[in-house]
Amino acid sequence: MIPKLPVICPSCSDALSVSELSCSVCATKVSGNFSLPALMSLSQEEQSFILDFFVSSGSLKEMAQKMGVSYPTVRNKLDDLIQKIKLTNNI
Amino acid sequence: MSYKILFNPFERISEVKLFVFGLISLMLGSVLGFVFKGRFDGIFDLHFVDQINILNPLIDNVINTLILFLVFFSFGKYINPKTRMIDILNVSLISRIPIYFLSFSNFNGFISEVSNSIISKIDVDNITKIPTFEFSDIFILLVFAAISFIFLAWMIVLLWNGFKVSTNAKGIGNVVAFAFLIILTEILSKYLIITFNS
Repeated sequence: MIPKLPVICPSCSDALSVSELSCSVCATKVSGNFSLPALMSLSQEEQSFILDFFVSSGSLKEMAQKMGVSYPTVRNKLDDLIQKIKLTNNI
Repeated sequence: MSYKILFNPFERISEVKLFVFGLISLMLGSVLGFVFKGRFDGIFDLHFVDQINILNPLIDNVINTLILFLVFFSFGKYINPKTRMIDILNVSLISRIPIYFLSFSNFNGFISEVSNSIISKIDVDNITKIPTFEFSDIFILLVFAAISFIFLAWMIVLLWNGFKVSTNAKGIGNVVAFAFLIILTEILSKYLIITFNS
């Protein structure tokens, strides 16, 4: 089972940031204060959707066929996701 | 899953399949109208007549579908420029299917006979006289009214769900506007059918 990366603080619901990274080969640890990339603020399902969009070369028609839904359903999902990313990242 | 398809086929089914199905439904619905002497003289109307020709219900349905398409495509484009014509056309075609089913209520002239029986009891020369209706006639009419209401509600649900999927419409403002536009489409279709297809 692949554990889910938490992005929201369970205590105060603010965005989490990365304070330590480690190398699984040589055990080197790097500590600091790194903010998570914008895409990490999305749910697993939303990230998969964006990956599928990328792999389909941006073809909503292809995505609709793959997901077994209609074209406007995929388009609406993409538009909602774009709106969400713009809001959370102040774009 | 199957009950969701009945109320919102627009989420899952491709536009080509919806268009073909909608077009066939319009043709079949028009044939049913002719067979059971039903006139679709408004978006939400079905009236049974004594005399009918094959083209009347077909032209009724074409007018009704076109009015729905023009009004809701215009509004759809206004709220979301990405709205596609084919999606709104499919909504216009598919949402009318429930009303075609109501044609069956006049099988063998059943509902027409009941209506005529009720109307015949009314003394038009003495309108203040309270008519004595047959209980069975009133009961049948009430049952037909209840069934009609259910099918009309189904039609409006299809119309709203289809519009919502086609335009990604959100918020109470769009719901209110949608309700007003439904009334507008009824008025427009009624006027056009009375003027050009009576």
